[in-house]
Amino acid sequence: MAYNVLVVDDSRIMRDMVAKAVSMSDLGITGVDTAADGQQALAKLRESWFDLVLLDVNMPVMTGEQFLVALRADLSLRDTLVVVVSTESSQPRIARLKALGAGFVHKPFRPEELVVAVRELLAKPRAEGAAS
Amino acid sequence: MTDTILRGNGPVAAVAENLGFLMPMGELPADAAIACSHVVKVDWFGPDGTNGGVFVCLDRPLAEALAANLLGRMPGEPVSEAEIEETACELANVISGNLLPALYGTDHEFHLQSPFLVTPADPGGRREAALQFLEGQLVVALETVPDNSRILRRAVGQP
Repeated sequence: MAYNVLVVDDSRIMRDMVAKAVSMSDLGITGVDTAADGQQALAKLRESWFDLVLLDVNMPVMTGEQFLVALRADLSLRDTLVVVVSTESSQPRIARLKALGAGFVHKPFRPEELVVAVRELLAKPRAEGAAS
Repeated sequence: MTDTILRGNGPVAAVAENLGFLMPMGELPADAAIACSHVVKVDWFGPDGTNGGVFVCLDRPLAEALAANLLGRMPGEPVSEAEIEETACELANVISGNLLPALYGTDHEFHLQSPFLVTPADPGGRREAALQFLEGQLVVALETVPDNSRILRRAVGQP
């Protein structure tokens, strides 16, 4: 399989790190694009197909949680697979993100941790991997 | 000189090591003065109107090493001042995201603003971490906002 990935983070450095971690893995990632906030990410998703979104939470303009709510409300995008990559530690917020069908990787992360989380999500049937 | 062990040393050292590939060598005295070359502030908002700021102060050798590590530079390859500032901000962002729940527990939701550089001087506030790395020194302080203590309590049992 070949996968297209969208990395969403307001930090250029973190976008590069996340993109490099998945690109250099054996996940079969053939395309990586980036966005600096949730609003940009939604615009890109409406223009092009992405198999997976790697998503920060604390971002200006539109946070990761706001993006995820909007994503799941959009009939054409709601089954998009999402892994949250964040420093987030609030148990209530993590629970909400997971209830929206997102995987979760805590920053700072080892590349292998991100790869494992992505692999687990990609292995699920698409409807199960996204929000119910 | 005090022998206070700062509660933030553990989580801050872990972030610096795992994100920045910096090598923690031990704790500095809580009131140690360091020659801050870069000070980054991260403002945050929390539950019920609480708010504050986290100051992350690096000396120049640490700031340069961090930039080189994060950008994958070879030994001896230079880093620009803009790159040093950018990577310092990234470190401060991840430190802040990890430090606040370590201090106050994981029941609260903290919203972090984008990090920004401030005047490179000791920012005062309450020291939460003071660390010596192989590469240089780092201090983290919290901007004290008295009203916060009404709502935020120090997490019990945290190291």
